[in-house]
Amino acid sequence: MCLSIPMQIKKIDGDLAIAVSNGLKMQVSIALIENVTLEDYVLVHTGFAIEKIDIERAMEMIENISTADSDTEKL
Amino acid sequence: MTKELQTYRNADLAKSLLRQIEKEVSRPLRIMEVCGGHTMAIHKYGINNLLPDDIQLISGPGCPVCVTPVAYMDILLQIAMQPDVIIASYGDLMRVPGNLGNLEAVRAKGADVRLVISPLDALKKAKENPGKKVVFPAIGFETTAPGTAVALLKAREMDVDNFFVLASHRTMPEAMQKLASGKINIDGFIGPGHVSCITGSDVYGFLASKYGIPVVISGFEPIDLLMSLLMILKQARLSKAVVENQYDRAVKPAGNVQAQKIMYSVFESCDAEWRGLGKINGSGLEIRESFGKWNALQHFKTSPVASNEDKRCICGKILTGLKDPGQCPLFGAQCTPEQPVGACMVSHEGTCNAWYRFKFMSNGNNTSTSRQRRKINA
Ligand code: SF4
Repeated sequence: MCLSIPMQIKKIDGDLAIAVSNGLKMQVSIALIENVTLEDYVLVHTGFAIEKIDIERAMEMIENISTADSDTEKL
Repeated sequence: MTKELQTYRNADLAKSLLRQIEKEVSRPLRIMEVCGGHTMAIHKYGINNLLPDDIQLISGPGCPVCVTPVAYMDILLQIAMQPDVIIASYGDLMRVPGNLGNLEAVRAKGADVRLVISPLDALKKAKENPGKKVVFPAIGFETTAPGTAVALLKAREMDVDNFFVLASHRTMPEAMQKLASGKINIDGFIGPGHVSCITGSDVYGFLASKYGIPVVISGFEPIDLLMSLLMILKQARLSKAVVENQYDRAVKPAGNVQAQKIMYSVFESCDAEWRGLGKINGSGLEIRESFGKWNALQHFKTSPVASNEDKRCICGKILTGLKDPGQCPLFGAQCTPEQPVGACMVSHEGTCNAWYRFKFMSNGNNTSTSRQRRKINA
């Protein structure tokens, strides 16, 4: 029940949207998030988009690991 | 999953992080993952088997099904047996035991119990069945409660008078405070990722400042969890205690303010009972009086039921990190996911269930409480 899946918004109609992920397509409510636009990635939990996912930030985090392997003092 | 997010399952990155973790361990540490989704991911990816012996991962109370009190299940089961009632429930609740059995058992006796994946589906069922009373059992933490609130706001907007919510939502920071102030000696918390999407990361500040416990909010992929562990280990080595946010691609310091507003327009904080943890002040969400018309507790009459819980079940101690499932005499014998005795065996996020599926099933026995170590080739 704590699970949420990343999905991409493909169509918006009021506070409902069509979101897709790995071939799965479903209607989700976007009532809980502001300023959502087409192609945004969101986390979907029990039929609601609960937050947008910042893909750029996700990749920055990965960069940090790649550069930190030899730098364990960094905090 | 997007190509970018797939990187969070990359084996080379995992090896790099494990090497850093090996170097970083400064002393034996007990680290609790409070969220059931993390418990599941840790067992699914075998992360617990890859860590140095000095790191002990302990599961916490973050499985909503596991902490749902028996008394709540008894009320729900009594409502389910009343005439013209449809229970529209998440699948996770079907086998949660109460003193009167479980939803699956009352369905076999004729109760109308249907599965939904969203409170809006339950509301839809109410509109489709005007002659019936549709009851939605609303469990879950801050992740789930805003959705229940949206359904109640819609019920009011559309004037649906045959939709009822039996609310048992819980809030996580209060439970973490109870754990932090107790006797279990936690050296670090892996903070709940999806709960924190709503609450934000700032709310956990007191755990670091008052109790001196490092907190790292984590995502759910293997790289997320290994990074979060490394961040906790670094704090421990430097004797620091701060809140860090590994999952900042989705979690903001103040959280999802819109969802918080919606949640608190329908619910207000109350003291609440947790299975295993007892009563925790301010840890529940009750439906505001202005939404009383849709509150199942106000609409249906039920009565308390005598307890027949199996005293040998140690769910309470497991939920608070004091014992693990291998120490329960019923684990894997009388208590299995097919026939759960306690709530921790029911949901996939329950610790006993995760142990059964990923440890017991793969080992073929329940005696292995020590980890199978697989050293990573550097
Ligand atoms: S194995 Fe079953 S009976 Fe034992 S603690 Fe877990 S849920 Fe309770």
